[in-house]
Amino acid sequence: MTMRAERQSFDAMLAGRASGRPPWLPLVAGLAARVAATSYRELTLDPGLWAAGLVGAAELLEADALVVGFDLTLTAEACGAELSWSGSAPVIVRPPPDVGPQPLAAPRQAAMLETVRRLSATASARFGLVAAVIGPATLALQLCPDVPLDEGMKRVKSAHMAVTEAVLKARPDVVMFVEHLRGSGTEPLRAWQRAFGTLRNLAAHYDVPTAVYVDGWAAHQVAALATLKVSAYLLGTGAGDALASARILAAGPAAVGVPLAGVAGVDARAMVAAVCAARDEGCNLFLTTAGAVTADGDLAGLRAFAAQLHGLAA
Amino acid sequence: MEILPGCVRSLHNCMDSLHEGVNTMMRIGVDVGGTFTDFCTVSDDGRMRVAKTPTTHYDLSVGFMKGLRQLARECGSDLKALLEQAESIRYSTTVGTNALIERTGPKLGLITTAGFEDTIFIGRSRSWADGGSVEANRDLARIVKPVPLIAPDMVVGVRARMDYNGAVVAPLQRDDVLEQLQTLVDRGAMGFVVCLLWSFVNPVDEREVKRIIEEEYPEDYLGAMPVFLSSDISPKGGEYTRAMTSIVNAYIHSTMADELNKLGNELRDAGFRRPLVLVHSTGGTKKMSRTRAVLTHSAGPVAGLYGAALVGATSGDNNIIFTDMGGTSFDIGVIAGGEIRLQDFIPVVDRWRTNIPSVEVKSIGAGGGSIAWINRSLGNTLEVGPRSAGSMPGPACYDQGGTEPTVTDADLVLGYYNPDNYLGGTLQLEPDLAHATIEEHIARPLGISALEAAWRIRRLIDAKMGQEVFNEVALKGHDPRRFTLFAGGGAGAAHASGIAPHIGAGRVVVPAVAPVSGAFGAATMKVSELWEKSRRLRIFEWASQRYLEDIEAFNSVVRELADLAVRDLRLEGYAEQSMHLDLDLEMRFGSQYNLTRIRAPRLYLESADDYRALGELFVIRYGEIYSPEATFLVGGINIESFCLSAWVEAPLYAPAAASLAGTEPPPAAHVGTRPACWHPARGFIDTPVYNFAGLQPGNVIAGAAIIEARETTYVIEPGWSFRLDSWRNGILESAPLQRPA
Repeated sequence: MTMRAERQSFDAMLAGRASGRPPWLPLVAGLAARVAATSYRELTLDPGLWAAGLVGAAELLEADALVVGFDLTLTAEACGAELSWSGSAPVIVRPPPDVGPQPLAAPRQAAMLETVRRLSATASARFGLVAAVIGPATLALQLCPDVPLDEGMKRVKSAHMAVTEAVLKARPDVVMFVEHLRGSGTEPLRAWQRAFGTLRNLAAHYDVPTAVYVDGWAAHQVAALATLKVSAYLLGTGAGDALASARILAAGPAAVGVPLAGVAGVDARAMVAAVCAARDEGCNLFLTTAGAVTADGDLAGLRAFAAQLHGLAA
Repeated sequence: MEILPGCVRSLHNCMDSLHEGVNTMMRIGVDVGGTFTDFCTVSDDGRMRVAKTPTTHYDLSVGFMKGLRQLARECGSDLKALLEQAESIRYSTTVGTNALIERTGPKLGLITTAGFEDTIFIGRSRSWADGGSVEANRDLARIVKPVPLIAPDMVVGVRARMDYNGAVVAPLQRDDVLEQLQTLVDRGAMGFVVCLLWSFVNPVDEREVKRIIEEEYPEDYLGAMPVFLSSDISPKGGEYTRAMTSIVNAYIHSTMADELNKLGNELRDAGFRRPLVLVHSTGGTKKMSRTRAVLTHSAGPVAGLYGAALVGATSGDNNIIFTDMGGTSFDIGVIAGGEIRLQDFIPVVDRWRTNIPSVEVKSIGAGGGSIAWINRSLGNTLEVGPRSAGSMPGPACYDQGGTEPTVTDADLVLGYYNPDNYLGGTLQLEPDLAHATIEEHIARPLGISALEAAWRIRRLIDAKMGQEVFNEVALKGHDPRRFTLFAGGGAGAAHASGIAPHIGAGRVVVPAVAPVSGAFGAATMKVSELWEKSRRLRIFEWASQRYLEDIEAFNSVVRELADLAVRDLRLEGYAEQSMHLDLDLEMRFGSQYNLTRIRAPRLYLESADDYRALGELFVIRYGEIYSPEATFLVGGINIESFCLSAWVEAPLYAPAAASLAGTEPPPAAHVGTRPACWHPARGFIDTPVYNFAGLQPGNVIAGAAIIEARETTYVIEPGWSFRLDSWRNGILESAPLQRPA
């Protein structure tokens, strides 16, 4: 298969090459439903619609990669948590009494896995493929909110590993763990590092690089993030200078995603220029969004950013 | 890891290859194991490099390519440059075996002689036990026959008969074949196996069936289906084993072809333009395009055995008990007088009795990944294996999600492995995970400490392996004490001194190539194939008490096999002058059941006297095995089967012996001490630790000691000593034993 430019840009980023225009990885969620002309709930129950919606959204935003499963509730629901669908996105309203024994059988989780498989088979020549899985700390907080974090991580470990392994078997290019740190911090750090060590070993067996998306981060937590030793970091909303923090993380071998949109007060043009300048200095930075691009997101604005970005390559 | 710079006496004039542009003698051997995939390069500058990666069962090619990249790094090169230098990649694969076990083969139809449709279901007396575990076979109340590879409704019979001479009794009818064929197609057949009675004597009917099928479903049409003839795959007597050999071959053929073609494409994309070579269980290697699928079963252990023979030839060990302890299985083979003589002529492939003349290597489920468990139905007895944690999730200490304790976990708890230097530091081990799982699953239920539990796990697996070695060797008529134990495999060096006492061995050789013995064997095995044909010749007639005079009856069979062999090796790319042909004959007295194999002194008979010479040779050989009193010439002597071995000399890997340094290891090789437990009653003792790469030939280390190499760890128990010989083989010796006179 002839690799398209989007795919080549993504591969270069994974290989640690910071040349050319920055790769663009918007975290599409609800927008895919809008493209597929269906509700988000229906989308995430139908792998065909989901795959088509993601590809359509990626084409619309001129993205270099598809991100499947960027949904904080997916695995929690699969483990038995109760959701509310009253808003535009589902939220967890009640954790399960016990962590569900067969998360892979849950309809939305199964649909996500099938979507990854289909996109791996049909879209990999054109786009990179990132499979998103909730992070171990966030899942523990969701399912076991009343116990210490390290104990919670032990309780969810088996289910989390099962979901991760199933995702890896579906052969994405990257598996990205989504951690929502708001108000939780990363203590105990050792348990978090150990969990990521296990996940890295698991992913290495399947020859799939790992990444972590972090929301709610603070500048003083950047050093802790670096100890996770993943292949890529994506910074979401945080209380700190995203570019400066990204430069710190990119001092190692990892690629780091800087949020271009979804962050109040960010001058997108200036951010693109700053990222390009950093790449010229050898920092393997790329551009992403802070959080999911929803159905009612600023589509025009994002398309304008993408046009500007691709204009750099011309 | 680089092993011993030396020199290779390469016999270029024996490698008269027709491949263009072959300027290098570097060969890459790859051996897929249950837990690790091993890689070894052998090159003409005498260097050897090795690599190990976890086996990726979900797609073997992922681990294969990963390992090649790692190997390239070892060679200080990149993958493209490595592959461009490689004369061949020799692969012992488990693709076919996996397809059998996982039942991923196609739906096949069997065409056989009418009236014999149930042959494969009746089997051969106790065939329901073939390949089954001892425990399952003893459970007579619940044992069931394995689900057949071809369902009963997919077996049809054609009304054609031949007699034992191959003469047609009832001719094949085209309409009958078409009718039976349509039945199979209507029932969903995606391929056909044809096995007619006496086809090994006269294959004309089988070939006609194939021709009819190909006429109905031509190759250039989408509906074309493969046809496998038993007279091609296994022209030997015994319709059950002939049919099963053909069926197993057909069943795994397409899966193997797909996966190996995919691998071939990946290799080609990466810069390797030559054919992939596969290791055969019959003891040779051939290009993939000239390999029958069924011959690849259990090739890895066979490759290891051949590698051990080569190492033994260098170090002067001619009587070898070869063992290979990997992550999943423990393999045992015997080399007597420098030769690999033992063959299993009716080996079981998965659950199916076949008739390929495989080199005999016994495998049991015992390895570093063997899971320790409590057998509650036997009074809470500790058991180890045969289940293995494999490469995923692997032992608990691998921190890949494994929760069950394994032998590796036990060795780590005992302090034998360095968690920061396992596999050269590429795999970080977690001792507290090992400790916790042993505590939870073994120690607590047994009411003992985790340390005691780890000790028992180790002792039990050593005893299991040692007992199996003793059984295997002694029951073959050998005195194990007269043999040198070779401990191969990634875990061999760690358990050698634990296994040896069970067979009375006071000397164990851990070859320099031990961690990758299968890959080394694959890289150094010669190109060869066996060509067999069943043909009865009464060379000494019991009625007349006279020897046969018609030498053409003998020579015609040999000529037929030789023509096939020479043509095949020519297609492999070799000139005739580089080929060697050896003839073995399976013979028996009168109407005995069992056969005895002898090596014919010459390929073709020149006069009737040569029959007498063959007969006398048979009588002598039979007498050697069963005693001269058991010979029975008056009963007549038959040749039942001809087996031609066709082979091409491989470049001889003969590393030069390095000169011996003193017995004292260099100070730099002693890297420190580590607490290790040599008996739970004594707890942990600070044990000297050495770096294998820093040792010099001639160095001696007294146990207790631990020697860390990148791909393995040598555990020298108290009472044993370690010596590095001139070829960097590790020699473990215990206090001298009384050897039999």
